[in-house]
Amino acid sequence: MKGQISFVEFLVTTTVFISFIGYFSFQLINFYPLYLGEIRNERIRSEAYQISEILVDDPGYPMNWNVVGGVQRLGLSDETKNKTNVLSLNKITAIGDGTNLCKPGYDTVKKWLGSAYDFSIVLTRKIPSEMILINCRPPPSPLKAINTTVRRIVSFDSSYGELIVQMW
Amino acid sequence: MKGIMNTIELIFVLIALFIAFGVLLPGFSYRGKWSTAYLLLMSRDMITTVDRINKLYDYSFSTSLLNSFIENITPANKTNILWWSETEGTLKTDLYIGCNCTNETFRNLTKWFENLKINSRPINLIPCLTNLDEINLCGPSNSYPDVLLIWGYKDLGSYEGTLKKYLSKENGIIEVMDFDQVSSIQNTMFGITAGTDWGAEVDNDTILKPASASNIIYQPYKIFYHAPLPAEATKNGVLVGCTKNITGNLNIWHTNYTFSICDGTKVFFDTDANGTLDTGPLVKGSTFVLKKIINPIGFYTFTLNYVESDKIGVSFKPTYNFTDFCRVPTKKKIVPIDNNVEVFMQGSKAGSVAYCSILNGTVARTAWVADFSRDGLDKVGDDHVQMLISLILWASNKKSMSTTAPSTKTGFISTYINVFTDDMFEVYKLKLGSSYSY
Repeated sequence: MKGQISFVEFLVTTTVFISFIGYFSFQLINFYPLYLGEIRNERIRSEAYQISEILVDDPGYPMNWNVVGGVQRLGLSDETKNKTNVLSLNKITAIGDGTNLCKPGYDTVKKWLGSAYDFSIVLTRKIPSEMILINCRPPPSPLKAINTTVRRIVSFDSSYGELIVQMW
Repeated sequence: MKGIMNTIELIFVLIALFIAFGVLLPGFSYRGKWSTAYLLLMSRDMITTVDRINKLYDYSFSTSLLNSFIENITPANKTNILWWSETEGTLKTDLYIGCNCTNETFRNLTKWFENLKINSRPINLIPCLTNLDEINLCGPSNSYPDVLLIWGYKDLGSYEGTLKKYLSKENGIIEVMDFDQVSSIQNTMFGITAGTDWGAEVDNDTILKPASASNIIYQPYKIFYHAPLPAEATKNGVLVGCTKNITGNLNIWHTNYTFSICDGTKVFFDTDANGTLDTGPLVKGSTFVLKKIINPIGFYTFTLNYVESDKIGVSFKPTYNFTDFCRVPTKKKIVPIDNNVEVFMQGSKAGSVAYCSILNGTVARTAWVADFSRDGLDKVGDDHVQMLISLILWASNKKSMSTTAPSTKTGFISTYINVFTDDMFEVYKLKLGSSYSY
């Protein structure tokens, strides 16, 4: 009998092995959906940030576009100032003229920005009085929770305001 | 019995294993840095936007303006972000001067320092009396004054510990005194010692031109020749063509030069002190020449930095000469102890040199200046005041907290270097701090 293990010892080692595998699998199964969700969140955050950065610090193409018909890539930066966080009032007015706050329409804006996700863009002037200048969002659809919000502080024509990009 | 023991062993092993798994294989978690990045992005946007609307200089030194901007962007009731700001490397808006001096000197200081404005920004020089056994705390923050002014001779030997502790907090000391004896603390702290022979009488006293911007006399030199000296007009006058006319005096070289402000925009000067307004109308930015009527006679250029309804700001232009106040043969001649300290002001003539002010930047910022009030405080002119102000501003503590930092354990600082030039080139660091309150 020497050199052989008893049934109880076999049971002990097997139980130890199974409990280790069980613990590890349980952790993985628990974490996997959470991890996938976080990956999606990160992708949406980076995409929202990129869109805000393009709108705030890129003049678009052509650089001096100021009518909707001429835009190939959207960007609101003032190409004459060529400074970060300075938007062009002409470009803002081309998108939102006070009565229609998203003249080109959401689908066109989405095409210009080339995003796979749905988003809303709201530009609000803070002084001399608070006023929404641009408001582009998709038509009402089954509600989805907003995944991320990026707020950028911008200036234009001696005034300042905030650009809010929300994505889901 | 053997089976029972094995079962007990199994139970113990299982418990031990689960504890070990918990310790060695902690539950997976994912911690992104989005909230940190977002906070930094907000602060950077905040500072950049303020700069773009050309308000950065104003907001840097005004808590209320900056808070109002922040409140406009991130209303306190809608956000959990806390903000604070700090400037570093330039003059504070409220600058406290601990004055170890007589009550009469204190009253005069208060009067001399009124209405100081540099780069269109008020600089409030606020004197507070102190003794030297323990430097008195002053100001609303109840802290050390930004600069200590010791006026009149004192043997500082017994205060060495207090003064060193004060200097270690990035503050500066200025002493205005003549010496019968020069003690060892004057050697170590102010870098001065007694010279041997006064030599022949010297001519005018001049602020020396620094060889480079890294030289410690560069800052006071820059302030002396750029910061506008405020001159108040108090007497109503009658000038043809002016609806409102107020006159005042500039006291330079112990001579009163009358000026007259017309409608708060134009100024006329009596440039040779003969009682007739002979130059003008001058507007902001104009230069004018005053004639020094005491020996040696000369002509000196000044700039009119600003004109207001009851005051003007005048800046001196290189090279300005004071009337002699360095050479006092009854007192010790003061000389620099070695080449590590810098002479800020001296008088010289035909190989004879007398020193009026010496700066020491080796330990901290300390300055000695000969007692220009020895003939009475009423003999102190606007030129002396300008020199004293330039030394005070140089020696003062340059770290300023605009708004109080919250007592959070973590926070992030965005730093921005700003440059501003109106009267004087000013470069400083603005730090905008942010943190989540929960």
